[in-house]
Formats: sequence, structure tokens, C-alpha cells
Amino acid sequence: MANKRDTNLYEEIGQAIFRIRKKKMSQQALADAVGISRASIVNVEQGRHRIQLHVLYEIAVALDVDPRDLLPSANHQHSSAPLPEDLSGKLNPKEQAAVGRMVKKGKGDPQ
Amino acid sequence: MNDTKIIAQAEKALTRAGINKLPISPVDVAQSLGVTVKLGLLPEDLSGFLMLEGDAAIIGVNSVHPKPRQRFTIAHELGHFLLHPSRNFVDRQVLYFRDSRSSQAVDVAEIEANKFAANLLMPERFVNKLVKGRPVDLQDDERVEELARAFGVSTQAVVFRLANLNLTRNR
Repeated sequence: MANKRDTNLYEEIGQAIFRIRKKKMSQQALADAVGISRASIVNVEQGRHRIQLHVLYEIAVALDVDPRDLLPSANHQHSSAPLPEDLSGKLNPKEQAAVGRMVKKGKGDPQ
Repeated sequence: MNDTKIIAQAEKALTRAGINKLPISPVDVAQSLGVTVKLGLLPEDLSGFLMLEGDAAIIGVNSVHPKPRQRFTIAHELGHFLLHPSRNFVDRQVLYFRDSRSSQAVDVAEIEANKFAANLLMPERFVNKLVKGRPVDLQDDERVEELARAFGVSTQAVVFRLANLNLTRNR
């Protein structure tokens, strides 16, 4: 299950938490509010830790946002196939999604 | 990489695909190399990409661009595939008309891929055949357009190719 797309999901959630959190409070303050260690917050923000759903809700409450604000849209997830790094590195997220869709489309079809 | 090597690669690809008439189909060339070509919607400034996946290779082309440009993009990506192994590429606004002087700022791989594309779609022997020893006046729109149609490329690409082969003349 630990494929690249799963990893991207947790990275995206981590980035969303980071973006909102840094405007409002320190990692330590968020850790205290949720009742987990600062190291866990670091791991969550970097997408290294697979955040549990109830923790996500607690973080949303602590940051005073809707949990949905921390989640990428389902469309976005489904449309993006994992791309090699030397390709994705040269593309913005919208372009990555478009390229991902195209690569996925008709995969394995006879040309 | 010198031009001779690039030209030889283009010739080899045409021979392998069994192509000996115009307009050259870059999709047929791709097929003979086992490369899949996909047409799809991409943001405007992306021309196409080459993505390697294990043994497979995919060329993606932006369907919003005009046909001649799509053809050149496929040929350009095939150039990357043959000349620059084991790398993925994304190409923005493939510029046909750059020459080696004006494109110092551009990646050398891009220049090579463009040279390959020009040689694949407009092989010198076909250019000579169509030009019939009469260098082309680039102001002669009708003649330039006729050549562009024959090769299935933009007039811009034809002009650059003719200049490269020293087949232009001033009025």
C-alpha cells in the first residue's frame, strides 16, 4: 500500500497543516493543543507520519479551520498518477495533474 | 553530439519505420520504436513530454496545438528518446526557428532534439527534391506554404530548415 500516491497524499495534508499552522502558532503550541509531541507534528507536516483521522480533526479544531481545509480534493488525488521526479520537478501542480491524467488515460491500450 | 550523428539517427529511424514518402508520420516512427503517443489536453504553454516507465515510453502531445506543431513536438520528443536515453523531458513552446547562435541559453539537449525533428520530418533528400535546385525566396509566401504543406510542418519550421540547408535566396 505504501505506493507513491499514498505518500503524496500525506505530504499534501502535511503541507496544508504547515501553511495554516505557521500563520497562527508554533509547532509546540499545536502539539500542546492536540496533546501529542512536537516531533509528531514535525513528522505530520513533512508527510512522514500517516496521520490518524481523529488527530486530523483535533488539529483542525486547534487551528480553527474545517477539517476539509486540510484535505486535497478527491479529484486531484485521482487525477494525478505518480510522475518521475525529473518530470514533476519541472511542472506546477496543475500541469502535473494534466500530465498524470494523460499518462493514465488508456494505459495498456493498443496504440 | 555532432550534427552527423543526429542526422544518422533520424535516417535510421525512418528506415526502420519503412517510411519513404511525405508527409512523414512521426506517429508511425514512434510505433516502430515501441513508443506510445498520446494526445490530450495540456496547459497552453506545454507542447509535450516524454516519460519513460520501465521499458515503456510515452510521448504526450498537447491536443490544443495546431496539427503541424503537434507533429513537430512528437518528432522532437522522439529525438530526446533516441539521443538522450534514460531521461524524462517536458517541453514548453518548442521553438523551431532557433539556431545554434541564438539559442545559447537553451539546453543543448533541446537544440539536438530540434535538429533531430527537422531532419526526421524534412529529410534533406526530400527538401532537395522539392526545391529542385531553385533556392527559395523566403518572401514568396505561396512557395513557403506549399513546402510547409508537403512536409506537414509550420511555415516557420520550413523557413528555418531551408536557411539551415543554405537553400534560401534574396529577391
